Amino acid sequence: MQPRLQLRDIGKRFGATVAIERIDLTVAVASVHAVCGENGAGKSTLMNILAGVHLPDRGEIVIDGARVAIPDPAAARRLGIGMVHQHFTLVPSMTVAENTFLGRQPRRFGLLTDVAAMRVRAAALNERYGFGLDVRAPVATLSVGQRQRAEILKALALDSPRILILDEPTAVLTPREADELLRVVRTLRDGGTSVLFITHKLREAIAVSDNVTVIRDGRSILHRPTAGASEAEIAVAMVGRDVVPPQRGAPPVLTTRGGLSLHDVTVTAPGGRRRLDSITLSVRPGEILGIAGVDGNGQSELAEAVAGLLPVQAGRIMLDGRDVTRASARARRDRGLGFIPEDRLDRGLSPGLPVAENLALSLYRAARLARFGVVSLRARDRFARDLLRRFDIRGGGAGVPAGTLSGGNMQKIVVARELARRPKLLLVAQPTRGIDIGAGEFVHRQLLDAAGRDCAILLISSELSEVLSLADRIGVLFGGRLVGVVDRAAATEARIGAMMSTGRPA
Amino acid sequence: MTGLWTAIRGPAGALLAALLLGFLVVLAVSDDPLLSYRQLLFASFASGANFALYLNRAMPLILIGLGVALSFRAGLFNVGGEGQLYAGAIACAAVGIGLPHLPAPLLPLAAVIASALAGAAWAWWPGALKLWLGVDEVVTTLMGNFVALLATNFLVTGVLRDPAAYGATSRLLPASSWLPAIPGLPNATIGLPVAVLLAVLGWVVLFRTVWGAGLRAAGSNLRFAEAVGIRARRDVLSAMALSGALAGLAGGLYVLGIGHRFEQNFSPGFGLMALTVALLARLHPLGLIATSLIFALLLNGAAYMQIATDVPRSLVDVLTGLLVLLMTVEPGRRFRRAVTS
Ligand SMILES: Nc1ncnc2c1ncn2[C@@H]1O[C@H](COP(=O)(O)OP(=O)(O)OP(=O)(O)O)[C@@H](O)[C@H]1O
Ligand SMILES: [Mg+2]
Repeated sequence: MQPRLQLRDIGKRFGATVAIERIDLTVAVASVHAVCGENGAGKSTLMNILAGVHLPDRGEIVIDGARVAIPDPAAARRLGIGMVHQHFTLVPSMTVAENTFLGRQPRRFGLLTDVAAMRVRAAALNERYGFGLDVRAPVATLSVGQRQRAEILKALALDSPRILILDEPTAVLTPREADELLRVVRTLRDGGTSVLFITHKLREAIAVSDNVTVIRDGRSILHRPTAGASEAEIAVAMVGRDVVPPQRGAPPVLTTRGGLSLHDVTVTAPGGRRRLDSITLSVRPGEILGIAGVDGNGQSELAEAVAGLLPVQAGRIMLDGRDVTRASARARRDRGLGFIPEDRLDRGLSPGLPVAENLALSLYRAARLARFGVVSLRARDRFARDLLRRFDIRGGGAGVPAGTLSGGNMQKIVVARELARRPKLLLVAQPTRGIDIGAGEFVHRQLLDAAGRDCAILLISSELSEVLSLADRIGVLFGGRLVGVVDRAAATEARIGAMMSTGRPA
Repeated sequence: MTGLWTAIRGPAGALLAALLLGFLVVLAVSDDPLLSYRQLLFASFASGANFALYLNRAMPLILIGLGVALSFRAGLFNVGGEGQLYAGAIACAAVGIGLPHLPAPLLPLAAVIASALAGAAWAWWPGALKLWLGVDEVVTTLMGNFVALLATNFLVTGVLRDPAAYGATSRLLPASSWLPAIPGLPNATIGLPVAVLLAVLGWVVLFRTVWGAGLRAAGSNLRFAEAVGIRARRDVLSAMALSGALAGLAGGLYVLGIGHRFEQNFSPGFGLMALTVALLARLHPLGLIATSLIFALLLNGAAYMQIATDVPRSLVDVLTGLLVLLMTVEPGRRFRRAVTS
C-alpha cells in the first residue's frame, strides 16, 4: 500500500546550527509512528517542517503519493496535518471552542464569528473523540490533562485529519491521563489517521506505536517495526552507548543537623480550600527525600511554599537552622536554597534572553561575575561556556536566546544554573520532565553527587521510578496531605502506588 | 561589527523606504518636490541658529525615549511620557519662580531635581497600581497625559500666569537658573549633551549591571525573575519611576534651557514621538540617540519646509506613520520562531 507520508532527504539549518542533517521517514496509513531521539536531535524541527512552521532547506515531502510544499501552517491544515506542539499554545482566557477554531472561526455574514456554530462543531469533535471536555470552559480553568486534550482537539479540527503530530504529549500528564491519551491515539489510528508520536518515555513508545524511528544528531539512524523492539535497543540507538540509570547507594549516615524542615505547613487557596494541609517533614544534609504523588495534589504549592514564592497561612519552615517562614525568596536563596521549578518556561528561564544571562542570573555576586554591580562580560561568558560544556548543553553558544534551544536543553540550563550555586538545600520539581534518557541519567547523577556533597534534596516528582531510584525516604502527597513517609528499603512500586491512589499509608 | 550591521539594517532600511515613499507623496502634492525635501533634510544645517534649534528638539526625544526603553524593558508600557514631561516642566517652573532667592548654583539644581521627582511621581502611581492591583498601565499612563496637560493648563492660566504676557505662559524664571549654552552655539542648551550622556549611562545600567540584568529578566518573565530571587516588583517599580524621572527631566531642561518659562502646550507631541523613536531603536539606549537625532531632524526640517514651500509640516506625521508601518514587518517573522521550540 502507498504510504501516507514520505520524507526524503530533509535538511534544515538555523544560521550556523544544523538542526537536521539528513532525515528520511516513511509513515504508513493508519499507523502510529514513534519518533525518538536525544534532546536537540531535531525531532521538533522536523515536525515543525511538516506543520508549516519552518521551511526545509532541502528534501521533499510526499503525502499519499503527491509531492507537496508546506509554506505555512494554513497549508499544513489544508493538507490535513494537525500538530500539538511541545509547549502549550492555547490562549488561557478563551474557551475551548474559541481556541479550537482560533484564526479560522466559522463566519456569519462573512464577518462576525458564528459562536453558536463554533460551539456546535467543537462539541461534535469532542463527542467524536470522547474527550469529555466542556467546550464553553475557558482554558485557564482546565487541568493540564484537559488542556492537552484541548490542544489535540484544536489539531484535529480539520476537514480530514490525515496526519496528527504529537510532540511530547505526555510529558506533563499523570499516568492515568497518559493512558487515556494513548487510548485516544489508538482510536484515531483505527479511524485511519496516521499519528507521529514523539516521546522520551520509551515504554510509551513501545506500547503505542507500530513503527519507530530514531533520530540522532539530525539523522534518522534506525527504522523498525515496534513489535519485538526493546527499550534498551532504542536507548542505545538514541544515545550511542548503554544507558545505566544511576541508583542511590546505601542511605547516608546523617550526623549533621540543618537541612530543611517543615512543621504543620498549611497553604489555603483564596476560596478557603486547603492546598497544603499540615505538612510536616524534614530533609537532612546529604539526604534525598522523594515526594511522590499524582500531579495536582499539592506538589506545585509545596515547591512554591518552600521556595518562598507562596505565603503559608500556618506552620513553620526552617532552613539550615533558621526560621524562614516569612523570608523572601531572595533571602532563602542567600541561605543556600537552589530551586529547579516544574515548568521551565514559567519559572525556570526567560526564553528571550541569551543563554549566558539565563545561566548567570542570580549568580553574578556568588560566582564573582560582577564588580561593584557592573558585569564583566568576559567572566560571565566564560562562566556560561564552562557550564554549557560541563552539562553538555547543545544548540548554539552562550549568546543565542534560550528559547531557541530544544526543550531538553532548556531544562539543562535550569539544572546547571541551580547546581552551580552549590546549594545547601536543593528543591527539585520534575527535574527530568521532557529530557532524554541520557540527559535524565546525567541529571540524576548530578543530584546524587550533590547529595554526596552534603546537600539536602527535596525531590518532588510524579515519575514514580525516578523517586524510587533516587530517594532515601519517600513520602506521598494526596489531596494536600502528606501520607506516610516510607524508607526506601520498605518502598515498592506497588506500595507507593497504592498510597498514591488511596491517600492512606500502606 | 556584523552584529551591529544586523541590528541597524532593519531600522535603516525602514527609514530609507519611508523617506522614499514620503517623496512620492511630496511629488504628488508639491510644485517643487526637490526643494521641499532639501528643506526637510538640510535646512537644519543651514545656519547656526537652525542647528541649535535642531539640537534643542532632539533633547526631549532622547530623554523620554530612554524612559520608554527602560520601562518597556522592565515589562511595563509607559506611554505617559508626554504627561511626565509636563509634570516635570511645571514643577521646574514652580521651583524657579517660587524660590528666586536661592543662590545661583542651587536654584537650577533644585529645579532640575523637582522636575525629575515630579516626572517620577507621575509614572510611579500607574506602576504601583499595575503591580499591586493589576490595573493596566497603558490606560493609566495614557490618561495621565490628559490630566497632566489640563492640570498644567490650569496652573499656567492661574497662579503661575505671567499677567504681562499675551499667551498663557508662566512668569520668566530668574536668569540665575538658566542653563548655559553649548560653547560655540549660543542658542543650543547643554540639555542635549546631558541627554546623550544619560543615554550612554542608561545603556551601561541596562546591559552591563547586575541590576539591569535582573530588570530585563523581570521584564521578560516576571515569575522567573522572582524565582531566582530578584526583587522583581521593587525593581520594576523603580524602573517605572526612573522612566518618568527622565521625561520629567526633559521638561525641566526644556524650561531652564530653552523656554525659560512654562508655556502652555509647549510640546509638539514629544511624548508620542519618543515612543516611536524608542521602538525604532529596538529599545536600545544607544540606537535611540541616533533615531532621536533623525526624528528631530525631520521635526525641525518640516518647519522650514512649510515656510519655504507648499508642503505642510504634517508630512512628518505621514513619515512617522510609514516608519511605524515598515518597522512592524519584522516582529511578525519573529513570532513564527517563538512558536517552534
Ligand atoms: N528557531 C530556532 N533557531 C535556532 N536554532 C534552533 C531553532 N529551533 C531549533 N533550533 C536548534 O535545532 C536543534 C534541534 O532542535 P529541536 O527542537 O528540533 O530538538 P528536539 O529533538 O525536539 O529536542 P527535545 O527533545 O529537547 O525537544 C537544536 O540544536 C536547537 O537548538
Ligand atoms: Mg522537541
